[in-house]
Amino acid sequence: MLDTIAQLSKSYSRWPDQSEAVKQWQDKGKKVFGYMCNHIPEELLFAGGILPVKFLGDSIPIVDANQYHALFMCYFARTVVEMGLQKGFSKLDGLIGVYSCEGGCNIFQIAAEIVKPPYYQFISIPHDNKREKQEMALEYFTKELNVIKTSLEEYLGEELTAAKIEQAINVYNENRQLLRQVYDARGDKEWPGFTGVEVAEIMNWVVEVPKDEANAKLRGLLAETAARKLPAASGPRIHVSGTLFLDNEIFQLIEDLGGMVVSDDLCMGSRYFWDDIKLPAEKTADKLIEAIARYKLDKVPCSCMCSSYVAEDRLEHIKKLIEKYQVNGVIFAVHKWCDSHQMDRPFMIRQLQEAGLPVLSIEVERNIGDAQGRNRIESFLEMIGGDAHVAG
Amino acid sequence: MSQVKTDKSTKSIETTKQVYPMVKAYYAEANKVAQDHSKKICYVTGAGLVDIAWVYEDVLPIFPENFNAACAAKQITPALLDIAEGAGYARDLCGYFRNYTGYYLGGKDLDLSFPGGGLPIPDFLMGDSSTCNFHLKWWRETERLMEYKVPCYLLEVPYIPPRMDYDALESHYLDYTVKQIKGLLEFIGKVTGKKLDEDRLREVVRLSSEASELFEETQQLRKAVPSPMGSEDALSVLMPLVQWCGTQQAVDFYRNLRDEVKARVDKGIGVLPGEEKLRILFDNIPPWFSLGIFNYLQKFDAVSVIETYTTYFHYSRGKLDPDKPYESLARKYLYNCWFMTSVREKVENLFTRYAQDYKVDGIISYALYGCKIATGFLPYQAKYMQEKLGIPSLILEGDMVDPRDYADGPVKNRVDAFMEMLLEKKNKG
Repeated sequence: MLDTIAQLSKSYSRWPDQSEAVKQWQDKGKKVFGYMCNHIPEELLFAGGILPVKFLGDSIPIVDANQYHALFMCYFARTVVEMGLQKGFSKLDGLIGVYSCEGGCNIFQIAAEIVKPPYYQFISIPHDNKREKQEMALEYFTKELNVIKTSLEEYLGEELTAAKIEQAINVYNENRQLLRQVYDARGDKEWPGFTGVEVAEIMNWVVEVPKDEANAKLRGLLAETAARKLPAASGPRIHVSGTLFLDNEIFQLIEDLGGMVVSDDLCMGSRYFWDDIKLPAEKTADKLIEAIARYKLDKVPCSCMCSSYVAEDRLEHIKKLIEKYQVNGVIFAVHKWCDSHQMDRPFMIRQLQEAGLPVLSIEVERNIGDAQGRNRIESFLEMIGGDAHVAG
Repeated sequence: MSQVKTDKSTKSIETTKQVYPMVKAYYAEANKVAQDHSKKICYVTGAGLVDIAWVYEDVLPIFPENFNAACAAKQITPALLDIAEGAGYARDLCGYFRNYTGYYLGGKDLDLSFPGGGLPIPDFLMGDSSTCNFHLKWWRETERLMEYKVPCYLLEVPYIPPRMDYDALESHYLDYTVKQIKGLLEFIGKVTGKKLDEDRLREVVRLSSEASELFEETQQLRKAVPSPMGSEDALSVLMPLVQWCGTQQAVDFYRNLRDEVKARVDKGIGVLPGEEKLRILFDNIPPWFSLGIFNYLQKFDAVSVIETYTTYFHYSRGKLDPDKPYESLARKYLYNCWFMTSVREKVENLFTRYAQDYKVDGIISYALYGCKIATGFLPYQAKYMQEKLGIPSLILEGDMVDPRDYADGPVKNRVDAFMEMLLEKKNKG
């Protein structure tokens, strides 16, 4: 792994109470909030000088949390409750949740009841928000975001002005552009700038640190890797579909076995940053918040959404990435107990197979399951062909 | 084909016996309509939304969820579930969804005794999310299953977050639901080619309210000691509310039920012939294939006196105003199901109040592995009820229609131990 990326890894922790980035931010007298799902309006928090840190979960045993939630929840969500019980969120000033998926909805609220942070908000997002429902869903969700704005202003004792919100949107949009450049660099067939493992680590880091600082570091990283000459991968080029992982095991396995992860549609991947917020002509706070709401509803959908053609829209995104990054095979790595993704998976697999793509579907619980996962991925890569390793 | 041995229930209430003939006749009509196309068949899912379908006289609503529950009661689900899983649908998805999908992916051609002779093909789909968002995803999958030829409108009822008191909904929650109700009525108008009759809408709201009020009255009567009606009946008499809410038929049914239950309370007739020693709250969707579990409790002189599931399909907060039909229906859909309300409100207010009002000694929660919204918080709820109210809970695990993972013997062993513990606790005072 590139030294610069290894250094970035030291600046955050999956446990917010141990994160250097959290400590540095709070040392400046500023607040840090935790969140779980991409549907949270990070820009509004950042506009108020709050550092939003995403819950990454961790590959830990569940010890006490089973007394609080059913076992039928994805392991990621369960580790969030466990971390809450083990004081992992004790330094957070606030928690902000959203009803995206059904498991996450319950789990986040339980975590909040355990942690009892000084600030706590939870909002609803319309899941059926396209086509004939688009305008009414937008109006409703804009009002939900305004609830957040008002409560943040009360909490902070200061107004979230249009200028602050616009500035935050610009920082976040720049971050999205830089991450797309990182993806393009990784996807370069001839001279890949990053390995899949490195990009996975960049994604972990970027959701835990202030975006303005992240942007400066990403610019440096892109300049550094422009001159880097990674050998081109001759093994299969893989797209990974799913949500997020509790460690980088799957990326490491694929690349150790001779493949290369060149694309994904993960929550902690392209679905986090693929689209930009379109700034409105009129830069009032109301219009800017509406623009954030529109972005959240229009972006590449998570499987928890229920709009018409929602799996079809997600599939379009995957197909575009497959073409752009010249993918040879797709691995669905879906968490056990994740209803939303499990529901869409058979349709998406059928469609990809009909388009001629080899597809492997594996179930993730705490992790991939070393020996079994390794065997299945190895067989899949062999089936596709190629045996070269990606150096890095 | 796997054959699973579970218990069917026996009932105490005469009115319950009317349900099965009603369902049978209804499905017979539906299959006739599917042949002669005299009405548009719509599939409805969710909780409560069916009354909107009854606004249009030439629409026949069918509730596939009930079909699934009936398949489970007939103990024919395993073959259908196997088919869905063979097509790639995970075993831990909602059992209703798997059973229905298995039916359509080949199960309907099997030699099985399907309720009502099987599901008629729909002309359109409508659904709401007042029990869960998975219903909406299920209907989207149905659109694919039907090759996008069947139009669909979904009413998403917003989840009520912890910041909001149940009695003080923020106006945009109501507005958003009202807009969707109007959108749905417009959609049905387009599909049927019929203009909305506002008088008929008001009439449906009146009837929906009346059925709700009668059912709620019955629920209140169930606070009596001894319990006049146990869960083995209550869960069966829910069907008319699910399928016919908004019709005179439902009103008549629930008037009969209320009268019968009231007469039992007046005469002090309980479910048990002898002393009622323990009162149980049954929480969540039951195992439809094994409703006999409620009769099994009677071995311990215990009655399951109230359920959470029977609160989800009616408006329990007074009258709906027919002169404000849109707002009334919106309130009904927003309030009816606890699943779409914050964990805090559900546990600390709604559930606690039920446990206290019905003087329960213990809670049996049925944790459904396919239902994350209904199940995720159950251990938290059990812990809360024990610590704050001293009411113990037993959490059983399984699925509402999938008997393959339901082990009758171990379930009864756990029930035995729980009941003995409750009796001992009660005896100690």
